[in-house]
Amino acid sequence: MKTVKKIFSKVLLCLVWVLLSTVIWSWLFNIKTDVSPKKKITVFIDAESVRDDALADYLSSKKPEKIMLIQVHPFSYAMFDEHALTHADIYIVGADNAEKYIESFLPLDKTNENKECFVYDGVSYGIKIYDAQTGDGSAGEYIDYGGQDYYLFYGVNSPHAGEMNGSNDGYAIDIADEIIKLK
Amino acid sequence: MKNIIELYDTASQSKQNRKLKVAKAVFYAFVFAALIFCVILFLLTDVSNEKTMRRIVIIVSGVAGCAAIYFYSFAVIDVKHSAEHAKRMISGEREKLVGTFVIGEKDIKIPGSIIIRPMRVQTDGGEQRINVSAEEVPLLPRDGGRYVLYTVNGYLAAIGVENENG
Repeated sequence: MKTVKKIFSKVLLCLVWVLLSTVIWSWLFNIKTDVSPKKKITVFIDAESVRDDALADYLSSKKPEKIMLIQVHPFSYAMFDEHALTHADIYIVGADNAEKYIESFLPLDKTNENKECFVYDGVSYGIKIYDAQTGDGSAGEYIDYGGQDYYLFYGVNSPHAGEMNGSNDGYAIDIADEIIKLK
Repeated sequence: MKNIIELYDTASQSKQNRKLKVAKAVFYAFVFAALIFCVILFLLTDVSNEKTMRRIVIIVSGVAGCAAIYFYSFAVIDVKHSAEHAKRMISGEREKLVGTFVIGEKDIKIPGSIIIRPMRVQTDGGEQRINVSAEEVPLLPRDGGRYVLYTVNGYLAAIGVENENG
């Protein structure tokens, strides 16, 4: 009985240890395997739920050769790191919240003129990726969109947005096309 | 002639100290090995194997940490406290009580120290309360007789039969 009591008295300490070691090692691994923005594509998604690992795995199978890493994160991932949130390559955001982050989005170029877009102050910013009324959308297997229209935006600071911001390459556009093609 | 049961002696103290050294060595070796394993896997991680390595390291780190907590708790800390208590009993100044005694039934854990049982000693001058290490209780007589009790800082260190002839 005393031994059983003693065993249970250490359970809380073990739980604290497990939590702490998970957080610390996860942080260390993130630092170790992160690559410069020029060699990765980051996608931030502000939806009800996101299968981020699965989507990242899928997009990794389609990534250009020069891109080493594709990261997909929910917006909550950047809770303590505003820099990460404002320097993503691709954003998928609902119509209700898009204005909040408008400064992080690139205006679309003329090649997207025939697409349904998110317009702010007379300027088109995002491509419609999910229609709440019809339930039609892209990447539905990975993103639980909820009850509003969703748009795909390009990051104003993305080094892969092609001619939209004078980047060296258009890899973000390639990855965005892969997301849009996913039915 | 007095007949004294010494609850602590240098031979058993040496044995306990050796036990403590071995337990500590095993503990540190285990923790060090687990840490080195995790660090090596961490250093071998790259973008292609990151998920697998991360999972292994987190699992090994979690399990090893919990094992270390339990090992320290069961095999190291109790032996350490017993060894420290024995050292105090051997080196401390003794006081003498003569009388009958009753040992309490419940173990009491002293924070940062050993588990004890309280004792009530009925002497000619009245009742006195002392403590005895719970580990030593089986060595004590329970016949309700009159004994000579040697204490150090209120803890029983030895017990003897009173010599009626001096």
